[in-house]
Amino acid sequence: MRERKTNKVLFVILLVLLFFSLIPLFLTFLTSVIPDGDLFHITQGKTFLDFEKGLMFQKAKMKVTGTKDYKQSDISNGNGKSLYFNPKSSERDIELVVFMLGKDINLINYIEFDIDINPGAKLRIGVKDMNDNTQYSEKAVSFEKEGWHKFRFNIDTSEFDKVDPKNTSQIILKFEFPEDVPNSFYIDEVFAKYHFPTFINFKTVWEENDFARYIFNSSLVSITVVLGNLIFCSMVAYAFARKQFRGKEVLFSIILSTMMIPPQVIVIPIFILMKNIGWIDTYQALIVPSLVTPFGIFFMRQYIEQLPLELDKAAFVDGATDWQIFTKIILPLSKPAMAVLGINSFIGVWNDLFMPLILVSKHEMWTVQVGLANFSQLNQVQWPSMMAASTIAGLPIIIVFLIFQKQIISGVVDGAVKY
Amino acid sequence: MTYKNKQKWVIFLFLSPWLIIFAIFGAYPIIYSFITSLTDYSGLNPSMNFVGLDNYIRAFQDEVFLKALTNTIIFVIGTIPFTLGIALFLAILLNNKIPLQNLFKSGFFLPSVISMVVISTMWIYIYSSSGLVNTILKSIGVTVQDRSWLARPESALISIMIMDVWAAFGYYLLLFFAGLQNIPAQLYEAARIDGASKTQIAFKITIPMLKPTLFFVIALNTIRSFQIFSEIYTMTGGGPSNSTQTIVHYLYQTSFRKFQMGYGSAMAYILLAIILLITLVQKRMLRSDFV
Amino acid sequence: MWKKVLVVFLVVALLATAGMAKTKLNFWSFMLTEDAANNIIADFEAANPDIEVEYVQLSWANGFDKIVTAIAANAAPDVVELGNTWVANFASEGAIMNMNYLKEKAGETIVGWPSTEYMGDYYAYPWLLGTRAMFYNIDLMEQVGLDPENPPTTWAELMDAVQKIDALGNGIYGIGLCSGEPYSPWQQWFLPAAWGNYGKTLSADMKTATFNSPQMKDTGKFYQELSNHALMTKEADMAAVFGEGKLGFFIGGVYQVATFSANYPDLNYFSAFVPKPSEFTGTHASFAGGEVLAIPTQCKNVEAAEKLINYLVMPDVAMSITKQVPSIFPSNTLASQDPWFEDHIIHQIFFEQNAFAVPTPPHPKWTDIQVEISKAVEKIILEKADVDTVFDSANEAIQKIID
Repeated sequence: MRERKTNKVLFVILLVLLFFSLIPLFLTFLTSVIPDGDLFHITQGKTFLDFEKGLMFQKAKMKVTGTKDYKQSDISNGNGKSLYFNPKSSERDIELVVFMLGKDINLINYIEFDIDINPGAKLRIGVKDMNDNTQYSEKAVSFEKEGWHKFRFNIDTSEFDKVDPKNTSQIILKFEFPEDVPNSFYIDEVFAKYHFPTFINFKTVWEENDFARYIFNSSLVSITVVLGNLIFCSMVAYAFARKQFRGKEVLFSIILSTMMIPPQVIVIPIFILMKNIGWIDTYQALIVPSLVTPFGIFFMRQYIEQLPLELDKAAFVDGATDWQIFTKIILPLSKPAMAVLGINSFIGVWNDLFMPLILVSKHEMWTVQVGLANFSQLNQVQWPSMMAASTIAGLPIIIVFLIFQKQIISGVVDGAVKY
Repeated sequence: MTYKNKQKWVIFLFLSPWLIIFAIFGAYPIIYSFITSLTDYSGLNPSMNFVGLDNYIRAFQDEVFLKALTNTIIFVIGTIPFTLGIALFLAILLNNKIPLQNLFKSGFFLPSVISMVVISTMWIYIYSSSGLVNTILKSIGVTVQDRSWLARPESALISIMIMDVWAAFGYYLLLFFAGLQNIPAQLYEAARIDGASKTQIAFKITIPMLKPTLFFVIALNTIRSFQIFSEIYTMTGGGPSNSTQTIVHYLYQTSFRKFQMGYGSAMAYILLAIILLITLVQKRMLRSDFV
Repeated sequence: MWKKVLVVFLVVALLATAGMAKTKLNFWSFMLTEDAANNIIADFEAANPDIEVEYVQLSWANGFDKIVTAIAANAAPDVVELGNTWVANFASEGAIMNMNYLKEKAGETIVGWPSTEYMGDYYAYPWLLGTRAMFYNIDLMEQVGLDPENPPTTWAELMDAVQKIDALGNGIYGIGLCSGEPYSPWQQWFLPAAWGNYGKTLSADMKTATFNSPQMKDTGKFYQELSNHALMTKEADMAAVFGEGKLGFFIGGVYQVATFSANYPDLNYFSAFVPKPSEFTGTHASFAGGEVLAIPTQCKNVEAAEKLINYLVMPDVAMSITKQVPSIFPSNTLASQDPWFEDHIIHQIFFEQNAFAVPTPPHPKWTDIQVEISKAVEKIILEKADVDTVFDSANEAIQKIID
């Protein structure tokens, strides 16, 4: 009874711990599908214009062309203020230009505003990109209602094929007044609703970066290194675990020592070395030095040492060579350790940033992590695209983990006590 | 060929992958950086003047280095027991049959695949002046300073330590799992028949049988913790007033920001000596079976 | 007939050798993405058919280490982008070339030269400049009855506004003063304030520390008084609190505009020049950050490298980078005519603030000196220590570093 209660408590603790462990994964994925914001802010929409503040502050957000006769007005849909246009009767085309600061308009679901305009007036949408190309929509929509009402429209980016919709500097609301329609109007609360959740970030990241190539590079390097580690580290570890020779512990200490030197101090000599053998910008440079790692040797050694010696001895008596003992007995028994070593080497190489950044320059040689690192710009990070890229970069690791983990987890269950 | 000679060749053959790679890619950088540590090399200028052990002596007279050394030791001593304690506890717990066992096993490890940048950013926010920690403390009526926990010299280091324990235990949990595989099931069976309780089994069988794994994991964690760098680099840059300065971060700054490669390399070798010493002591203590 | 054939043959041969003898130029930069670089370089190569540019994009994560490593390995690029604060170090080690003659050719339109100076010579070409200006919350200004259309322009006006806003309470602070991290405590905004007050960290010959000058100390006292009404935390925190509408003023970089737009889309804020000591004295000095182009001494094609630099600093080329990364502006003042600024009013204020920007003293030991300044600033604002004593002892420490 009491045991069951402690079990329950432990189970809850586990759940809570698991929850906290998974938060970063969850945040990474969540942020990759938001239209704007960062890990802790989901921006689902934005008020482009609201006329509560004086016209001075509007100049950072909008401008008007086609007339000079407009002002802040106390009349509005609800409380507060609106913008009142009272142009000369000759001014029939009035443009309200909203500054977009480089926003991707693919993210906008719809734009909405409050308006009081004479029926018969028309609205045409224009988009201007960062390179000063402007394009207006083919069709204009007519206003039909009298008095204050909300008006909503969608931006169909396929209509704007002559501008770059990913990098817009302006959205232009062009109000067109036919001859017989009076051209004064009020407008307020221009609001954009973004798509949420959205997969546009993935699309943009995939289109603008050569992630297929980065993943290929990283996979090639990682898989080779994993294979190398599995074979070579086990070999070296076998010698340390099963053989006696002079200077064994000194040699092992040297291996350990190489783990203890921070990579920051050996990066220059490694670069010089790679340059002299002409390996800068090659796969070899990223693969060969990691084929045997001190971690792998150390880890496999302690694991093999724990395997029962009797099996080796029996095989030896039967006339097996060392290589046969190693491949037929030690390796099969070391599966769980090999699985951990495999996961560990894969993650280590896949996530390594320092060496690839130094040893690789050419774009076609970039690894996934180099690609990711180049997402940060001076003092600013585009979180949604960066997290979409991180998700793409993280998926292969999760797949590899799921492949290897069976070896670790299923084995434990077999060997464990069943209460 | 005599048997003995043949054995020598076999051993050499098995060791050869490491020997070859080390000879080509390991030895030169190590020798180069060690020689650098005896010079006044700047990194930007090819001139190198031999200065003997000056750099090593200088380190022990350098207030910031001593501070970095202290911080690193605090970090190592403060995180290892918690990281490994939690990992060991969970490993033993999950070694029993409990619901959702496999989910837990993979779930705890998955954060290790996430890049450090995301984890650091998340914790920077948690610790920020209007972040999670302050919000919770305020809601239970504690008066707090409206300053990031990472901006205060008295709390910055410990904040990073907490984050590090959280971020690292899943990884060591996986290593423990591998070690647990090596414990023969018969031992548990026998203990169970003798009527041992779960706690007794954990302390009398599991932990003693895990000793070699424990040595490995402690040594590994010691080596990695002494080299703590990226958390510091992304979260505090060693500040405020060097309260989170660590050896590797300081030697990086010295080498690449102050252009004193020689001095930076010397620090690396001092660090190497310290870690090596500690690892050898650990080996003595935990592995009486070999010298 | 044969003559003609010979002439044709010679011309073909000449063209062929010219084609083969293309000068290869390695160009490394942080600011240009691969795509942007491809466009720019294609145009440059079209104008200079004898030059072939190989571009490498550096990442902010450790691009700087890559430069240092390449120089150490004698594999430096021909043209490299550096942060202006690094010029003194690279110049003092003889790693980059003197550019005095390029400066002479550059004429009046290029600004930002002071930040590439070392010992009276110029070692890099200003390319893209970034500086800090003042952000203020419009709503909070209105709440305390101040006119947001006339933000404070002097220290006294700022102090008055800060006190009023801080008095609102309820988690609202008057101003943000950065602390608790490297660089920002002096960068944003103590040291520039002192520069605006004619204070100097080092004497003109850079042999004497002058951190305890009366101008410095006055700035220190003003800063200490501000700190009584200030939120004092890291810059990123400050931006978040400002974004939540709980901070009246803070001195920050234009890169925050992107943060506000992404995370706090409905925030009512504006920006203005950094206030100056008083109406009649001092300047609106701010910290001059920026990216400069340098030619490493290992460069073998100096002439071609110069051509590339001259091309990169052209107003429309530099402006195309600003359009992608609007946190930094061309050093070429002709870029102000770009219509982009009409749509980016807040950015324009920062662009104009560049005229008042002051670089850090070009001392190779600046990395160490700034640590002392950060410490001193934090002591006076966090511990409210006596300004005179703190600055006197900081001055001693700085003097020790430069000796």
